[in-house]
Amino acid sequence: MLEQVKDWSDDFYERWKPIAMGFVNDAEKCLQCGKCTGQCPAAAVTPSYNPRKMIRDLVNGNIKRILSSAELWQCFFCSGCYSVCPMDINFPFFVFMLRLAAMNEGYGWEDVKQLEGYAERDYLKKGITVSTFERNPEVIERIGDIKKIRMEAGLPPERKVTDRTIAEINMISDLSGMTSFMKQIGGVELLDCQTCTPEQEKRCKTKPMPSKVGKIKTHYRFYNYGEPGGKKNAEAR
Amino acid sequence: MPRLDKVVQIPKPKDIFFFKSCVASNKYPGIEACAWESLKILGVNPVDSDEQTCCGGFVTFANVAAPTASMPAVARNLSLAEEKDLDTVVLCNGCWTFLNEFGHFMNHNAEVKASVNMMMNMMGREYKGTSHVFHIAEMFYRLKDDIAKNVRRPLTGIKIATHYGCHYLGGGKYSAIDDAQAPTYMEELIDILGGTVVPYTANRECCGTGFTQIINGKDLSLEHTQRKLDSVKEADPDFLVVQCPYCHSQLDRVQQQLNFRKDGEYETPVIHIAQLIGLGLGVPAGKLAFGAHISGRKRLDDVMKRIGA
Repeated sequence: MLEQVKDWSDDFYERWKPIAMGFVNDAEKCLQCGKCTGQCPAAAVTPSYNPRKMIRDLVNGNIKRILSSAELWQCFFCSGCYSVCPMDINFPFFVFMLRLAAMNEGYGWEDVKQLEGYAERDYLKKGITVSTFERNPEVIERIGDIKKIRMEAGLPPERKVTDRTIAEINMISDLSGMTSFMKQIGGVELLDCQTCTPEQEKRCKTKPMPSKVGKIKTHYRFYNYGEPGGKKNAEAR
Repeated sequence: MPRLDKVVQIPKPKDIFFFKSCVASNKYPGIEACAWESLKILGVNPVDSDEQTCCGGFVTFANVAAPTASMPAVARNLSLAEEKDLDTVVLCNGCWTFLNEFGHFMNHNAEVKASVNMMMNMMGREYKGTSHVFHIAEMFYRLKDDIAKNVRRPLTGIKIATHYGCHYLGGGKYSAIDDAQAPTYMEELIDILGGTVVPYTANRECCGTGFTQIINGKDLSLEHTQRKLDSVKEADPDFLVVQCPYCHSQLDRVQQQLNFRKDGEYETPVIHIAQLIGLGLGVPAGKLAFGAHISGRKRLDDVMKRIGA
């Protein structure tokens, strides 16, 4: 496919900065030294993955190339690039931001869809992301019942999390837009949303948060997730 | 060489808020039990709370939650420690980066802190930013004199290799107590317990979990882990000590998967630093919970016999 002028964007970086809440910065300072790529575990197994080139493309504005690439989804988030970077560019957060942007353009949803269950089934239902569930029969055979091991270790058979806690993290999820985002990804149907009318659903997605807290004015929107293939809701401010 | 100026900044606490980890609770309960017992033996009283959740780092870096959703979740967990006026100790590199870096970010960004507190106030909590987050390994390093006094099972003649993991030293290169490229504090702890340190080439390599790569890009993940395990196998240690339960899970479970795929014979026991310290301090064998480990069980039992546990 030929690259077109509209695939480039001068203001992409500035627009998406607030979405990563200021974790991303200083990409312009990149020296293009390539230390990040040299020690990258993802680049070691996928030679086409190149953090140095991704930063170059981001600063130059060649956005479509990054967002539509499969390489964007190969980062290991090991922070090795950050640990060697002479200019302290926290590249994993750039990947994080770029992935959100890519999903906004309609890429990578299949990847995230597989992971949505961890948030829905485990994190929001039990408060713990990794559950005791085992898929591998050989592992089950070797360790047996994990509850028994926990009891032998002097711990309760299951880790306790209070109901109030579960309610609180669900509230955080609802208010920050995570719940409606998960619904958009189309993982599992959410219980509360099954009964709501289309109008309620619309309000749920677009209800604005107050922009002023005491004397401090905030421009961080809580509803800044994208919709699959849509740009409208994703832009901050 | 550890940065001693950082180490002296760690207070020796009387009580500490004990932040549990999801993998350590649900896959390797020995880590949780040993960390708890070892802290007690070393004169620090861990304080638990059933209101804590998991740090939420996984769902964030799986891109299911944006920072707007994870920031309040971090603030909520830290506010539990603040209520009790305590510092926090975590078992996992991921929890450490997540609580530490996001907490740091909120403390230095009034606008974000205010919008997070707006949500906190709705549930009757407040995030102040007074609780410092320490990794269990750096806490052990701070308490190394107490460890030296309390060794009950010297690990004489046991060959131990180390794996530091990425997110403690790499992600927090300004707040960690050691250098990101050539760390040595875990070796010092092994020395104190009487073990022999075995160096190997791929020490500072990533374990290969890659947060979500083990689920989405399994082949990439296994390929990387195999390289690491090859290097470990060459050095042939009795234990591979990690300081992150997620690395623990990857390095332990992938060995079995590679053996299953007939890609080699990997049988190196992997244990967490809390379990190693617990082993040295004489924590009872049930609390070590080696029954939850998958790889190198025979070797583990053999080592236990050799040190008389």
